[in-house]
Amino acid sequence: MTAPSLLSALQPRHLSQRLLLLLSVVTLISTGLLYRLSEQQVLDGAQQIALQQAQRLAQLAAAATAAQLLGESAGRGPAVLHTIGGLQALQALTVNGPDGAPKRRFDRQPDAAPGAGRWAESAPTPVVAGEHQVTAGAAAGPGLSVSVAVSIDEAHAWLAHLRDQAFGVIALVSVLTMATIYAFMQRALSPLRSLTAFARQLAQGDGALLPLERNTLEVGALVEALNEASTAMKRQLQAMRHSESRTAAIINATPDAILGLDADGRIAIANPAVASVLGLEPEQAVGLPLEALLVGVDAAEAERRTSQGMYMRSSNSRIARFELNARRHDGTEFPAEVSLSRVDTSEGSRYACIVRDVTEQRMTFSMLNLYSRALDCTTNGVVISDMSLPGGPVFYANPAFYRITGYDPGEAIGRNCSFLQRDDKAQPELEVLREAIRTGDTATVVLRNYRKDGRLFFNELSIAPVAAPDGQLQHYLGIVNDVTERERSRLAIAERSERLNAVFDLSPDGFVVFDRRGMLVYTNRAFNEMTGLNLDPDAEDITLDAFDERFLALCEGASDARPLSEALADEGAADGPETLKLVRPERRVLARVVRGGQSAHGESILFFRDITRESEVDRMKSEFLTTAAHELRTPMVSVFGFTELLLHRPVGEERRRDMLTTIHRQASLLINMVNELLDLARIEARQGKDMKPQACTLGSLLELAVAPFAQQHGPDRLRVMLDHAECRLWVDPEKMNRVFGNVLSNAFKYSPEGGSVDVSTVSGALRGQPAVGVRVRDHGIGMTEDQARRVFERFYRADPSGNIPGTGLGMSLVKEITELQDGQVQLESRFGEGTVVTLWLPLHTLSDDPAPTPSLALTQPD
Amino acid sequence: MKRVLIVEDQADIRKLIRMTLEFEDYEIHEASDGAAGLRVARSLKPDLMLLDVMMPGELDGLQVCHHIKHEAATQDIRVVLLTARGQARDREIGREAGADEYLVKPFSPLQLIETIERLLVVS
Repeated sequence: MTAPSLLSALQPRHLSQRLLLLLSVVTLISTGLLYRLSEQQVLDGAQQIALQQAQRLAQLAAAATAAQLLGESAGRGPAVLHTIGGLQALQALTVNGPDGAPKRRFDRQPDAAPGAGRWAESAPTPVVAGEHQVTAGAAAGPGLSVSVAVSIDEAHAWLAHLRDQAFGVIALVSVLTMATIYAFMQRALSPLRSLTAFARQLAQGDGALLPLERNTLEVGALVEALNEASTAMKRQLQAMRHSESRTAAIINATPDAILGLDADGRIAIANPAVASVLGLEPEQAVGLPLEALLVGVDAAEAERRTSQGMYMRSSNSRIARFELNARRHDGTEFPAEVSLSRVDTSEGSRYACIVRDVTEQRMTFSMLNLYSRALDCTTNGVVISDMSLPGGPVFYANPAFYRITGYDPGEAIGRNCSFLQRDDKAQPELEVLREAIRTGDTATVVLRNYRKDGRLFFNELSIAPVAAPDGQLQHYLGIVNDVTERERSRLAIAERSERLNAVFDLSPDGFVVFDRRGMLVYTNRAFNEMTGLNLDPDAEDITLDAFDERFLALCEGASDARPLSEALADEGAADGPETLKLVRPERRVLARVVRGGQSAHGESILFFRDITRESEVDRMKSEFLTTAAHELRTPMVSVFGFTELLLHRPVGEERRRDMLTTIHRQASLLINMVNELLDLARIEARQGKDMKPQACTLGSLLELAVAPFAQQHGPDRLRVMLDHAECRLWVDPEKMNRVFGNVLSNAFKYSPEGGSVDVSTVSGALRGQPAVGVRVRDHGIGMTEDQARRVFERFYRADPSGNIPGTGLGMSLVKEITELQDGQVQLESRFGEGTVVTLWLPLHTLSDDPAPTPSLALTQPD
Repeated sequence: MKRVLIVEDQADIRKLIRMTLEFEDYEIHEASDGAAGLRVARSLKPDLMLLDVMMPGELDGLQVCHHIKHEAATQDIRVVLLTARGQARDREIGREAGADEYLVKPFSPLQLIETIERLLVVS
């Protein structure tokens, strides 16, 4: 051990102790030096003091006692000695003569008892200063001098004592000072200890802070500095830890295998991903040559590759990236992307190697490639809009989109898809799209879009949101399907079905459609009107059977009717329409045709035609024929029968005449009837073209018409009041005769009880023109409202039983003829009370020609 | 002597039938409508009725025939319907009403005699 180290080893460790030691040493040295210095001064001082004392003593003694001294005997010594002898320092005293030779000498007896004989006279020898003595002399009178030797011991001792006392005080003060300093140091340094302890904790970086207590400024500053350091330390430490843990996490979590290699190209460290990428545990990997995992990459190769690689100045490394086949532990190879970096250090080269399995990446790439080609090949337009940008512009569209729209990529990219609508913005589907985009929903609509060349095309657009991985809606995908053809045919079909609907709606025939399940799906207006069922397939579910039940409830003899389902089942066997007689809501005759399993949808269609009128006409025609036959055959019975009798039997002249008269009468009747039939047929066929109007007076017409009836029934039953006999008319008198005749004939025919018939005339107006009315009132059986309404119908007869003969054409003729001459027939009837018929005819005002009296041949055929 | 009742609204036809049958050995009765005819038939119980189908009034010939043939007292009376309706359907209706014979107007008087005789001989 060297001297310094020994010294340093001896040095106390504590600062306070060191300071104390230092103080002690300094105090000791300085005290020593002082002591040494004071020693000499004390000695000099004592000598000085002693010398002065001796001079004083000598002077004193000289003044007081020289003479006495001479004179006194030896022995005990002079009294003066006794007096001054108390001065302990006085050692010897001589009284010198004028020559200076001592005459007497007194020395202090050192061992004398106190108070006694301390002085002894000795041989008069000059006083010589001995050790620790000084001498002094003083003239005591003429010739006498005194010399004294005074010891300095006393002064010396006194001074030494003073000195020692001073040193004692110094020592005490020193000790006190040191103690004080020590105590102060202890106190001053105590924060240092806690600071030391704190500083020791700093490294932990927990960011603890020291309280700023009442400390000295220095300590305070130190505490602050330490607190700052602590905070900073904590921050840095945290940052470091984060960074470290991140790095560790990255290294551990990265899917790529990370290998650290030593200079020999052997694996030194490996991350956990090695297991998944290379198929071996990281521990197994350590020590293996890189070549075992990367085919053909040995140390030399690694060096060669990295040498060619990129130089990174920041890390002083070279990095090479390449792809090759890596080999798993089990020997299988896979495509890998390798990143190899080399750092040259003084201890040789170090490699870090990252191996990435790109099998999936390659597959993904090829899939993406496939998708991309699929997008390119699809016939549907695909367009992607970036919704994160204002206006949601198109940023991708596939070739089909351009093919469909006719636009170039440059014209479509960056624009909102709405440019396809041009000015045709009034499409409700657009609102559907906007709403879907607003709520991030999908939607499919058909839009009217326009190609670049302006041609309309129908775009069946399906849009779907494409969310980013964070769930934020970023893109909207649109599939454009050109459905123009489809839409055209749909519109055509819609138009056609619209037309058909209108047809069905306007059709007087009823249509009812059932679907495949036998549920009612359609009834048209006519059907509902003719049946009053008012079925609404939208409001209620009506089955075929329920429909049939409700329909049959309206029918006469419903129990006999064939169920509809049965009719549908063997429709093939059905010959012609079925006839159904409705009794509710009113009497109707319907013809029904059923067609089951129509079209691909298996719908059943029922067709109803209201044949009430046809069947009524049929009935009336057949009734007319029957009546006509009866009416025609009845006269023939007489003609045929009597002639046969005349031919086969001999009859007298009178009887023969009677028979012939009957035959003639009946033949006349036959002719009349034939005429009437022919009249009607002709009027119907020629629509009044054979009218031969002429000016005539009402009176002349009526008189002619009334005459035969007056003759037949007499004035009691036929009362005529001709108030407007002079009214002039422009009519065909022959036809008017038939009209009046028919009306009068009916009046009598339908008054079987023999009630009176009144004929009168009234004036009025017809279509604003003056007119005259011929009124025929009977008091017969009258007609019901229904009968009155139908009385002008052809072949209609109020009494179908045939009890009242007639052809059912009479009133038809009346109406036809009257209206052809701008007249009007008015009919009022009360059942059981009678009928009033008024024939209105316009007055003839244009011509003043005198009316010729019409001449008629009643039975004369035209 | 057999009784023959003529029910016919047309006087000329009644006259024709009467004249036709006047040389035969029949007792002739007449009625001008259905109700009268039925009344006479019930009281007179004729052997044969010549009944017009279409007659005015409450009862037509078919109804009268129906009554005659469904009443025990009168059901033995032979009924010949005289009608202007000659369709098969009309004959069928006549047969359903119980008529024994059906003559369509205009009929031959000789044929009428023959028919009456035949019916009365059978009975």
